[in-house]
Amino acid sequence: MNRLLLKWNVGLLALPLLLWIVLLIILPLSDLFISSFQEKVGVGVFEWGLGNYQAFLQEPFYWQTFIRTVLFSIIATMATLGVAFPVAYYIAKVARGRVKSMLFVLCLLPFWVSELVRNYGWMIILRESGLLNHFLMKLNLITQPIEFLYRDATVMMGLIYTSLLFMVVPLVVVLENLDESLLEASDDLGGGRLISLRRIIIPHAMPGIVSGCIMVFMLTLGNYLTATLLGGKESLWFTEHIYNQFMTRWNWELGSAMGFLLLVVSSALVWLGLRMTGQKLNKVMT
Amino acid sequence: MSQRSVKVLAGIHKLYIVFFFAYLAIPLILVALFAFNDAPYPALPWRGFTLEWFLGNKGVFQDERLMDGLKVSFSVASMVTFLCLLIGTLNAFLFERRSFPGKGILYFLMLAPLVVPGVILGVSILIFSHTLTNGIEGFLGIETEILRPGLLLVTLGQFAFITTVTTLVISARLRKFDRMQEEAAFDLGASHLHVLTTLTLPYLKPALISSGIVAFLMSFENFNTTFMLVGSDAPLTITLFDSLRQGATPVLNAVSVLLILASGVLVAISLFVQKVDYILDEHSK
Amino acid sequence: MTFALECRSLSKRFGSFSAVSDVSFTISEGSFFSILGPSGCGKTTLLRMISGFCEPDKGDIVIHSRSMRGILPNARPVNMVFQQLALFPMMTVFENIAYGLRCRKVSKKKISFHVEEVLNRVGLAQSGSKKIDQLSGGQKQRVAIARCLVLEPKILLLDEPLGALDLKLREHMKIELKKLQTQLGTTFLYITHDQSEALVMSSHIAVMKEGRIEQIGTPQALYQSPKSSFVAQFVGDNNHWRGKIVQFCEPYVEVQTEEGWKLKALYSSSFQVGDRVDIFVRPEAMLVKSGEKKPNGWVNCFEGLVSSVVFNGGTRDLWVNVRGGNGSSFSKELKVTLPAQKGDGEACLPSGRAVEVGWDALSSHVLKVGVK
Ligand SMILES: Nc1ncnc2c1ncn2[C@@H]1O[C@H](COP(=O)(O)OP(=O)(O)O)[C@@H](O)[C@H]1O
Ligand SMILES: [Mg+2]
Repeated sequence: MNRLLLKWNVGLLALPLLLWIVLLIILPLSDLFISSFQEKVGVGVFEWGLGNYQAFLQEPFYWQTFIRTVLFSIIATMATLGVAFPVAYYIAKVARGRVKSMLFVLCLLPFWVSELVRNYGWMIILRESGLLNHFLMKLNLITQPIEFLYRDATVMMGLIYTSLLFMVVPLVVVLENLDESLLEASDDLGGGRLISLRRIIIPHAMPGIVSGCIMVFMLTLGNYLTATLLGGKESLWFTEHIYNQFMTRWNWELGSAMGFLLLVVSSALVWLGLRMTGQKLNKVMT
Repeated sequence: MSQRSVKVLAGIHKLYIVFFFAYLAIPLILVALFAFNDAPYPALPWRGFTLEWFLGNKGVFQDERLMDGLKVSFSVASMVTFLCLLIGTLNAFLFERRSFPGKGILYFLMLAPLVVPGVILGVSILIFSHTLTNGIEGFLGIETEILRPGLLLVTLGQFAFITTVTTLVISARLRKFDRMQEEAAFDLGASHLHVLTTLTLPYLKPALISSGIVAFLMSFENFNTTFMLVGSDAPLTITLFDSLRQGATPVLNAVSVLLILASGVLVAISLFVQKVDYILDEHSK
Repeated sequence: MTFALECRSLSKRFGSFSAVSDVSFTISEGSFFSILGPSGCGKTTLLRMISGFCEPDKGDIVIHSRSMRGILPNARPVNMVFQQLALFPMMTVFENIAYGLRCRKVSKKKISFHVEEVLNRVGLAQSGSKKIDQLSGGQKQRVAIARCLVLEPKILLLDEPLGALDLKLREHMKIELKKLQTQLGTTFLYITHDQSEALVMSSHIAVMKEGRIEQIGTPQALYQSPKSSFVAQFVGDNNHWRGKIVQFCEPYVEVQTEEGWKLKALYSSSFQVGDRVDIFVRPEAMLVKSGEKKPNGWVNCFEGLVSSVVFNGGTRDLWVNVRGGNGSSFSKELKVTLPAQKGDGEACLPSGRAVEVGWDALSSHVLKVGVK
């Protein structure tokens, strides 16, 4: 085939991809970056400077929320891993045949329902007039209804719930490929369960663990719905600050600075996670 | 380890699984249940079964705001699905069938939307569209309404990250295609286009269907990106969110039931297609 | 005279590796032409150039006097049966065969007529509605061939089409293919690494080695007078020695082999004392005798022990272990093929028996080393 024709061909095929990446990802993110360094000095007049970042640092409410959000996301990620691992192991290595595929599908189903609906379910259960209080009162365990919503623990629980799918699926996939004879060999050699887990199962599952953790961490850090609906004023999430700067305070420049910080931290932690476990992004994501 | 403790451990594991699935299912079951409770609030006590919240005067189907939201969501999701499948397919051919300098970098960039939080993607597109609108106004003196927050931006914003998903799914399928078949068809006198429509696309069909369904659902339930870009026409998730903040009503439960059913059906179709796909694969070995 | 196919000094390189170099041959119409060579020698590359999937770096391909330069595979009057068949799994047998006709926009009626006809011809008359995965290996093979034949190609290209079949089916399909070709009269260009396939089916064979053609000829010519050591060893079995001509003794030359044997071969005027030569003797040309009496009149004769006997039905192969001459420590296994049902004692030589083996100078084939 003609060389030139082939080049054109590649060019044409790559055009939509380039348009997509450049117009919807690179330029907007660059604009976010640029905007974060602009300070409003008058109506429609801007100057370059670090003012937005200074404003961020000078307001403890902002940076405390920021640190809290990052820490909570890390904790939520670890907790999700802890909750999901036994389930993934059960589906991949204990359950057989139809039960196995049924459990797997059951695991997926809730997550195709809008996050809003899922949180709504939790709200029905946990609010002051909710089901949990109703039952606790019926059982005479409490006399006054307790507000379970708007607490950190509740937010954490909701975040784990929302993230489970993204942890279970990659874990099941890697554990499926774990050769059972390895486990038998380990048992045979007198290795206890814990040793098998530490020496064989976890190293084998590492790609799945990393990819699950990255997804969960990203989703948690960028979460808005669960944090707003289950958390209250006292358990503010950083995305809510960003939203407020854009939609209610109308301070886009500060919002951009905050958004950019969130992006940097999330990318950095993802990178660090990949680095520490020796994985590659394109391997992990496919 | 003794036989007994192994058994106990297995029992605990099983119990854990039971609790886990209860944890998954209970919120959804309860949401659904209270759509049928004959009471103005989704709370106990149970006051008897009713379809009022679906069919009644104050039911979902009479609620104009929700119905509008549903329509908007549907059209946005359809558009997003179409675009994501189209571009995802082109991307799959580009990455699986062509080699060119910078391919690795481009692939990495293609994955990037997955690691950009949805809120950030939303606000950055918002800022960029604002910059563009101002730029156009400054240079050409034309006011462009089209790039103000609204359905176009919502569609583009969702498209921006869902395309990565369709690209990955379609590429994975295309990678498994036996290219010898294409050569054979070509040898039998088929044109490139004919080969594409009679062999390659039919082979991709299961991946197109299931990634199309995934794209549709992701678009339909997307909140984070949409929230930042929405204008006066709000998709269903936004409408629901506003209603929820004003207070829970059984109508919201009724909408949720419809959403649960719809996603259930779509997921079932997608699973069925994947299963057929799997069977086909086994046979062609 | 016009040929069905002419290849004129075709060359193809992949990077610095030369996959096909300077290959020229002609195929006359209606013949069954095979290209035979070990795997990796460039056969598939050559075929892909002819079918148009790969552009030659140098040279030209001419089909029925028409140069194929710049003509895409879908416009060439040749069709290819792929090594892995490449049938379309989501289509029925009928649809597979009709595919090419549909591309040509033939009317529905004509398509079904032609497809039925070709199905008959390959013996799959009732299988049109079957799915590909319902067919056996041999049937798939025939569908792959029928899919090409229905287009009435000028030349049918077959890339090791029997490679995927089991042994028995392969033996059967060899004969089938040959019959089919005779009956159709279509020119077949057949690629294989299996010399017995090539010998059985072909009217002409080109032997390839490392991207070059070593020899072209009829199966008989290749078998009886190979022009190179490679051909002699690759086509059929041969017992082989390498040595040096030490003296002339009319009508023979005497050759001292590397192992220390002295062999006699027929004199040829091109030989000179000191030439290095290869000597080949076909197993069926070997003579063998046991017992007290020395055989007389054998020009080459050695003592040996039968080390193993392989019964092949019509024939028997003996492996005879012969020790090197002059008390040297070398020894060599010689293969001797005998007709199986020979009434006398020689036919049932068990292993372990001491025998005399030899051959007539006429039966050996001598090639000078390093000369083509
Ligand atoms: N597309 C290619 N790129 C690089 N090397 C190739 C390519 N196709 C074939 N080769 C090399 O050319 C040689 C001949 O291959 P091939 O024609 O397939 O051999 P055969 O069919 O005789 O087994 C092999 O060494 C192979 O590795
Ligand atoms: Mg080959």
